[in-house]
Amino acid sequence: MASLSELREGLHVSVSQVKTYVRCPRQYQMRYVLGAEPEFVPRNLVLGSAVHEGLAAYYRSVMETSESPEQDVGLAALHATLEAAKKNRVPLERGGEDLEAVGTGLLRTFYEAVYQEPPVVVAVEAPFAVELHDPVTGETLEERLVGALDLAIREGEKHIVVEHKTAAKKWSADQIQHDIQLSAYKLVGGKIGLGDVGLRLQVLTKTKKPAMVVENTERGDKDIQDFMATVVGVLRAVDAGVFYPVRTSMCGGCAFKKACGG
Amino acid sequence: MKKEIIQILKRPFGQELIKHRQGHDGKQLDYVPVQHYVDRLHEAFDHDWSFELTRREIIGDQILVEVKLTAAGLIKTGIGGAAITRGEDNKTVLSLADDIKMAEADAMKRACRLLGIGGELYATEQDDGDIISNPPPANGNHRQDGPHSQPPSPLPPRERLTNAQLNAIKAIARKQNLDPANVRRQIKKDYGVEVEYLTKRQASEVITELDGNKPTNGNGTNGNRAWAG
Repeated sequence: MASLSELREGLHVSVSQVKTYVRCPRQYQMRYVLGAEPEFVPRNLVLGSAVHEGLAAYYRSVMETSESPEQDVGLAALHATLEAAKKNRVPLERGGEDLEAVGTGLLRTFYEAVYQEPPVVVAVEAPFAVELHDPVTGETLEERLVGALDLAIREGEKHIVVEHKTAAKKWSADQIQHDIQLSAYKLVGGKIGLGDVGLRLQVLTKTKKPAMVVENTERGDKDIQDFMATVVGVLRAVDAGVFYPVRTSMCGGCAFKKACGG
Repeated sequence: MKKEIIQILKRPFGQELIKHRQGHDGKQLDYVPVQHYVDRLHEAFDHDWSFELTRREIIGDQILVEVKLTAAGLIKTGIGGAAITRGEDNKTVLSLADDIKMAEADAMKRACRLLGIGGELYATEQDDGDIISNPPPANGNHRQDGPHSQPPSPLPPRERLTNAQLNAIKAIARKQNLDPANVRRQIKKDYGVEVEYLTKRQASEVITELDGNKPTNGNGTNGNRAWAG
């Protein structure tokens, strides 16, 4: 199976790219089109990646042994990712919380929730590349949708695609209903042989007392069509050079703030 | 070269020789058919010239050809290209022979350009010697007649490079032992964008340029551009 970096060698689009464009076209231009170097790596991004690595280490062990490993497995992966981020050429965003402490707290919360009953793991960080079609013209896009599924598990006869998030607070019902990443995973699940997958969000909240919130959700054909329309719309806007800035409270934490002039 | 010959070569083409076609991006392009370049060569050199196809290669969905034009003791080389035209299913090759002829004509015109023929077209070039004469219709609908025609689309065609072009750029760079990071950097310097965001036309230029790069001692330079960084 090709690795994620190999799949990214071809012309592709990712959910993260689409979300970036929807949030701020100028940031998309800076990051992807111009390849501008960010001023820093956001702390939230590093924490999210490190927790993801910790969870992936846990689930890989479960996939091999069908049992929960000791917490150290995940914590070691968390620590290694944070250490690597410190050595990155692009500096880590200054200030804020102690990432090691917050990450450890989140992983411990996760372990408490899942330790006794580990799931039947089918795939962890599974890379995918699927064809996309323009919902209006039906033409196959040159760009393939590339990404990696955090986790796929089996419950009875059904496969569930699980997406992990770290967030400041619990996701709202609207967020869950409209998140395009989940729509993408519904599409991908069908195309990579997992069938009509169920969708689950496991949100680790960075609240004073960390919690893991599990939300099951569904997506239908209309959601998939909407997702396709969004992707095609973004790609066509990028083709047309539409890169306007979106000035919001998010600008303060943007790694391209100076270059953008925001 | 005699002054009279230079005058013949540099004489602009008459307006009546200019034809029209639809460009990849929907814009109407003006061009002069290759036969008129050939006629001009006959006129200038009294049929004493020769043309040789020195290379033909298919890389991904691109046909690349190189021709050598010899006249009055001068040798001029031209590189041309064309995309392989596929059917609506995006798989069936409609007419490879026509696509190859188009690539050869493109190369021939480029070689002629170096002798001075058609210089006025390139002085305002927008598409390798073709002149944009009219903007696309406001509704974005473009119809191309003939065997390569596409069904009408409510949206203008995409301009971003194709996957085949991206792969071709990477494959040629690999073949020539060029550092991918340097190639990426050079493209960014030349076009101001990452390689994945080149237009189709820019990607064709890069492929032609890279393909003309003759690596010597592994440094990958061609005198004009330092692909090796």
